[in-house]
Amino acid sequence: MKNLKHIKYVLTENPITFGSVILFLLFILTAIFGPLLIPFDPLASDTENALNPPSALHWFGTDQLGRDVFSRVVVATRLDLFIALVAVILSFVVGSILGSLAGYYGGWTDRIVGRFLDTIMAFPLFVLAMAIVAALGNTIENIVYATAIINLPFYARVARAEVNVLRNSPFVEAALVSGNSHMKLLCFQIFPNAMPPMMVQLSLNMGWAILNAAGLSFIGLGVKPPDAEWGIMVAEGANYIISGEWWVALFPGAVLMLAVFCFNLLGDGLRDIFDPRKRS
Amino acid sequence: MPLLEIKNIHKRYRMKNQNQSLINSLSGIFKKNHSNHPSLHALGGVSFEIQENESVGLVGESGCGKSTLVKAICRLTDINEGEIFLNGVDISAITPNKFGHTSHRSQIQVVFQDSHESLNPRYTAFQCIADPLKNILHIRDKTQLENKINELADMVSFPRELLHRLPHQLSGGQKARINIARAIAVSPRLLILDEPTSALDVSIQAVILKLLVKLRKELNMSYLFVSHDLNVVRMLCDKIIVMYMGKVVETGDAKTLYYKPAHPYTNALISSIPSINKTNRVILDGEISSPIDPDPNVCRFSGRCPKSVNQCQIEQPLLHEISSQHFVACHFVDP
Amino acid sequence: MNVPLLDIKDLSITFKTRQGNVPALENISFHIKKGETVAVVGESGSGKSVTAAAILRILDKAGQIDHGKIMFSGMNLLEFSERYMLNIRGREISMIFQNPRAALNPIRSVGKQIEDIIRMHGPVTKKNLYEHAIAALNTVNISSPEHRYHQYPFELSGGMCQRVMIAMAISCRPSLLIADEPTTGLDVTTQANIMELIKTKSTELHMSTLLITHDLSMAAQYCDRIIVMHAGHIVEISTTDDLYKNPLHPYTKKLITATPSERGNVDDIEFIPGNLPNLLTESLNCRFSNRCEFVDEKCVNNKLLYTEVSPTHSVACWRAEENATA
Repeated sequence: MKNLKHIKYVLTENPITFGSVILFLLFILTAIFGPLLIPFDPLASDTENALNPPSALHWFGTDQLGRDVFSRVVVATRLDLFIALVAVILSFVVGSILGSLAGYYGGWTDRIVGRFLDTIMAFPLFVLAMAIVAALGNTIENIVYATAIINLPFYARVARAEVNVLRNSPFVEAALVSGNSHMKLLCFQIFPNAMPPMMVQLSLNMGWAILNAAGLSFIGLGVKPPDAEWGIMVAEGANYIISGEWWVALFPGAVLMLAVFCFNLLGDGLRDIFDPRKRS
Repeated sequence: MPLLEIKNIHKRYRMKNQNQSLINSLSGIFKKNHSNHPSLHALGGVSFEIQENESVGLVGESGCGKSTLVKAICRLTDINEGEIFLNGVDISAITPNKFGHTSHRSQIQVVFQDSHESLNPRYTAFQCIADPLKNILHIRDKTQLENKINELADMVSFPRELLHRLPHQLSGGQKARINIARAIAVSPRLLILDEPTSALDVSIQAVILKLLVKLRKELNMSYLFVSHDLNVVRMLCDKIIVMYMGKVVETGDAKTLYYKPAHPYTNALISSIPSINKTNRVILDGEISSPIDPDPNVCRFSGRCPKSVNQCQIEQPLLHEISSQHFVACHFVDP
Repeated sequence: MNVPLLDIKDLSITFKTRQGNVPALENISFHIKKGETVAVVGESGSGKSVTAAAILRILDKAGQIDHGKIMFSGMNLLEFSERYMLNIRGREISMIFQNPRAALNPIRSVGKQIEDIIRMHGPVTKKNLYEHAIAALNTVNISSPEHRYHQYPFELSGGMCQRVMIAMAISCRPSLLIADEPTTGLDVTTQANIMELIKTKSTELHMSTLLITHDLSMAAQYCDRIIVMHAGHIVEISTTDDLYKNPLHPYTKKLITATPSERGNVDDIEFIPGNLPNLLTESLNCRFSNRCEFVDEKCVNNKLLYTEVSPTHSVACWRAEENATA
């Protein structure tokens, strides 16, 4: 009960957080129900009506193949959010496991995990993602893996740091005397206490992951046409900006920006909810 | 047979050698060359006994090795030399990792110093007490668990309706009670109490001390009461052990030790206790000497001792009996 | 002229919190004469640390001074600007804190930290700063001060850190030293050392000391007078001897019997029944009334009365006089 009360307090005190939560819910609903409610088939091309500016019929106009931009943006929501969510969850799970083991056992476990993470962090992350997708192949699955791998170090480092500190806490000693084995201790007592800083990371990472997927698609290493995805739509639309057909790139770009913006603000709000020490 | 017998235990911590070159340290990994490494002597040959139903006080200041001793006895850490016998069984031969799975785990429990930090901040009071019941006594049945926890809460006078609260929602006294309830849950024979009341207000301390006295009688436990407050130790304990820099310097009956201390350190300790009646106070100057590789032939207290003479620098005093059950490690005390 | 060095009159402080207003201190009045060592004794929640913070005007933002005066050498500190207070803190009134290692800057050597204070408050040249710092370390009996000068707080023991703090606090020869639980967490022999040092320096510099502590025995050992506080009220003020010979307030009596001493056994120590009142919801005339064995209608319905039983002994209790003669 006290948790709900606190959440309510955070939401009402900070209108920006409240706004980002509403926006987030809107995105989720769009992702789930959007494809069922769109007016046009996102893949249906109608070359006669190509590059029409926004009108009552086509709210966001049509692209170079006559497809309705609005429908495509809505459908892309599902794909982008899905990629981001799966990638982030994957990196969270693998990263926390690696980081927790490194932080708890120290010694060689820590050294090996550390070097592995260092290898990932040695590359500019986007370049690494590009390399992974280029090597494994241009599929959505591989975008997910690439995004997951480059985000792994964040979680691993946070988990390692938190677990390392918690490992020396008096309550851990008390738990050992109460008969807990090391694994039980790590999973049920230490890790739940290490989670709050990572929860905040989750939301922030969603924004990055979306940008990452969009970025990869933008350069052609990702979602293939004719699939609708924000990044690829911006890439295709970029060709038409100079000739004056601004709507093809602007709307997917704006929605992409809004999504990342939303997740970043949500991260702030989550931080306020989970970690009272860092209240803004 | 004593409940607990500590025989000549040593614990050393290897320290990093600051002056070693990279080549030496690298070759050291392969050669296992330990002689270059200085070590911190936390425990330098400690021996004593605790009988059934006896309350023993352990007194000493920071750096004396009390925490290391507590960790060694409750098997959170290994020792380098010596033996620890529990009911005649050498438990020092069992590694800390394996000890948790033996039947001995339930015999020795600990009430740790900081009652707030010793509780998992995400566990309710109920869950904290349930932990050892689930892990050591393997009680899984919900009703049985609840009954046992309610019984324990009553025993420590903790209100049942507060069992669902988290540690930060409880007062200092309440947290202390939860720690005690958790420790006695598995019916230990030996309860180690590490400064259980040092962070509490005087009025709450009084309640907790009386509770501890009551529990010992009811549950037939022995206590190892670690504290820096000699007044409390005198009141609660039958026997007192005084430690200084990893060694036992004096041990004896609580009242005798308190009113007629034989070792100069014990004397200084007692005279340092503030009170309205104090007159002849012994104020110790200087700092504790380094516990890193101390000279085994020099009395560790000699640098600060008001009575120190040459003999103290060349011969380590050993514990010898000066009167019935009263042992002192000092060259100046006549038997 | 016998104007007390510090004279606090009717000080009341309220804390504004999310849940409401907490009247932390109510009508606190006491004084400290020049050269005197006075203790404020109380348990957690008694308001003793708030009082100390109020004197130096370093209260938390949520704390508001409702009314009262803090007269220091005849001038009301509450009327001074923040700029003027900068001259007072560290120079006229100094403070040392609990947990000395945490109160020192961890990334600056102790010698340099002492120099910072000296530089801030005195017209001293750069060359002399080093000498002054070494002299300060010597004053507090720190051996090999030239070596210690370069050390960092984490390299020093708790006792040493407290000595450094004391060196910093007395470097400008303040008239009043406030010591807020200076020895909590230190070993008992170190405690004795530090308290002896404070006592010696107070005498040497003719400095008044206000010792804030929860340990009645420590107050009894080192202080001339004791002020006992409970839940934001002063309940008794007396000389140390008088307090022990003739404690008048029921809380003081309970505090004395609850403290383990060198005589007696466990059955002799008594605990104080009941809990501190919830200052948010309960508005009591006497804040000890719901725990007191002598409580009657007068205590509940009438405002707290301070009785001066002797020029050096006053108590806030309606039934004190009858208890004194009893």
